[in-house]
Amino acid sequence: MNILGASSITGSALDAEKIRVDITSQNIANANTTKGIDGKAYQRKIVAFESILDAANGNGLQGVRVSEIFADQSKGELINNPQHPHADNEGNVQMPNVNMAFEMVDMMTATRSYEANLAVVRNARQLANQALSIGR
Amino acid sequence: MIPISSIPANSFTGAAAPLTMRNFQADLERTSGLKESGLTSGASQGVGEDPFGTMMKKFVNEVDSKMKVSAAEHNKVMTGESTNLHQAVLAGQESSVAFTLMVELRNKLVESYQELMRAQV
Repeated sequence: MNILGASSITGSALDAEKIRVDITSQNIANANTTKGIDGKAYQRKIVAFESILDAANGNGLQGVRVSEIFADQSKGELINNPQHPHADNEGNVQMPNVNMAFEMVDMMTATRSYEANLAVVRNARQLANQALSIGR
Repeated sequence: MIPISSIPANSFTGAAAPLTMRNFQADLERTSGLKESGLTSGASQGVGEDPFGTMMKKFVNEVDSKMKVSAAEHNKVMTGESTNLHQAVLAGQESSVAFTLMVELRNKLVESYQELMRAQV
């Protein structure tokens, strides 16, 4: 039994938002990676959330879960640079499809969501403390 | 201005429903369930058992288990097994609130005991 109401719900949301920030940082770090793990240019990853029923708290409260991390299949730019070690026969290099502006906005929204969930936890603790102070 | 009677009845459960229409039944059932389990000081007197003692023992066990969970979570973060710092902090909050609740309950019990003792014979 959780005294702090929906702390497991908030915990799941914090986990999910943290994963989103991690994936965004991975995208930004690999923004210029022309040869990824599979040999092709790096494809940016996108995180999808889904809600799950949190049975432990009863009441049908819905937590959040990362349902899948899939790669964005859109093609990046093709840059002509014959001196590049990863250039193909025509001298073109396939760049990753990471748009820095998109990634920065994603990171900002994920950070704000994380902070909003932290505010929920802080409020829940304040409620509990004020309820306990009734008897003092 | 939408008259309340024109809102379909099955839309009252959403978050957008007006506050007066939201269904608080689940919350009411939960609080009455807490009362029945004897968590308030109105616990019924059992024959030959010590209700205060058992209640305090139950509380101490629960607080102890919460503290163990919190210590385990902190260990996981310290050893690097888990990168979720917020889980450890949440578990710490939980155990601290539970501990404060137990201390308040103990204060109330001691106070009522002293009240009884003060009665002139």
